[in-house]
Amino acid sequence: MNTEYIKGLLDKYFEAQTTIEEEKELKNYFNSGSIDPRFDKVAILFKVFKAESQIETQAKFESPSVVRNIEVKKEAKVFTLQRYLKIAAAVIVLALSSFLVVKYTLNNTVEETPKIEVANYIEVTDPDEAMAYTEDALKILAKVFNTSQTGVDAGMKVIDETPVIGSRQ
Amino acid sequence: MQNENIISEVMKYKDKLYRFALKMLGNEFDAEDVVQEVLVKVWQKSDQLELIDNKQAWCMTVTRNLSIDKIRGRKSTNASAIEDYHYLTDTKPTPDIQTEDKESLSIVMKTLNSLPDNQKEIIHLRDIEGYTYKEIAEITGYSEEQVKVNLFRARQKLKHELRNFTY
Repeated sequence: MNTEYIKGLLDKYFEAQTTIEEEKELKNYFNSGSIDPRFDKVAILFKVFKAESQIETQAKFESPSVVRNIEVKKEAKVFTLQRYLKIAAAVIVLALSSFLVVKYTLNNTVEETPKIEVANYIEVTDPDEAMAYTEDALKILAKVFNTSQTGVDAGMKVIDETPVIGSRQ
Repeated sequence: MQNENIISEVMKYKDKLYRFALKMLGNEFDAEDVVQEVLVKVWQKSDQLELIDNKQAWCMTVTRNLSIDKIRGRKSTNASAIEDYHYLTDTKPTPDIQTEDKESLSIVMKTLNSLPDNQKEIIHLRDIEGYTYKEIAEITGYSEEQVKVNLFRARQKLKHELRNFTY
């Protein structure tokens, strides 16, 4: 193959201007047995690419259905353990709380709540009797107000009798 | 039966998936784990996969996402695992290449491994797997422009590092 043509392709390659087909030409050329000695070192790059493109895995992959079954079984196992732990914890809590309740009940007698005395109400149906009660209530109220008024009057009297400084008697 | 058909179709390019995962993770065991997980995903989503035109690109995307998850998992669970990852990446077995020029081979490998992750990924998809820009964009989620720019930068770096490889 024309070495100038290869050189041109290489220049384009390093400028990222080559097409897929041109890159295939370069790969084929550099992996062929007849390379111009001037390209010996650059050829190594393309040989590395070829070698890497031939790497294969030796692993035997499991069918996804098998993998999924394994995963489900693993999950089920974890779930069972968690479930047992939850049940055990619930039993312990119940037993402990029952014990504490029984112990508290035996040691403490609950005192009876004293009865609340309810005020006796008198139901008045006779209007005159109701009027009398109302008058009594108002009298009590008036008495209280009068007392206050007396206090105020007495206070006012004291103020009136107090001599004012600078005034002539 | 439908599931089995899709799985056997995906198994045809399991090596591509493996190589991509290996490139990202640098660890054979993790790469195999990822391929196994991809097969499970394919099995679970076989109904949706029927409607996808480019199943291979879809599987490559899943491989990429699962590999990224694995890397993140390493970072969050164990700091030393990251060191292991780099260690394994940097000392990945040299491909079996017929050359007496071990020094040049070493330079090429070192340069390829020193590329930033996104460039390494794009070089892999283009130069090793032979995907088009459109397919690479679909797999990686980058735009076609971003793919071209990153490929250009990666190849420029290769050209610069291999500047003594005059031709």
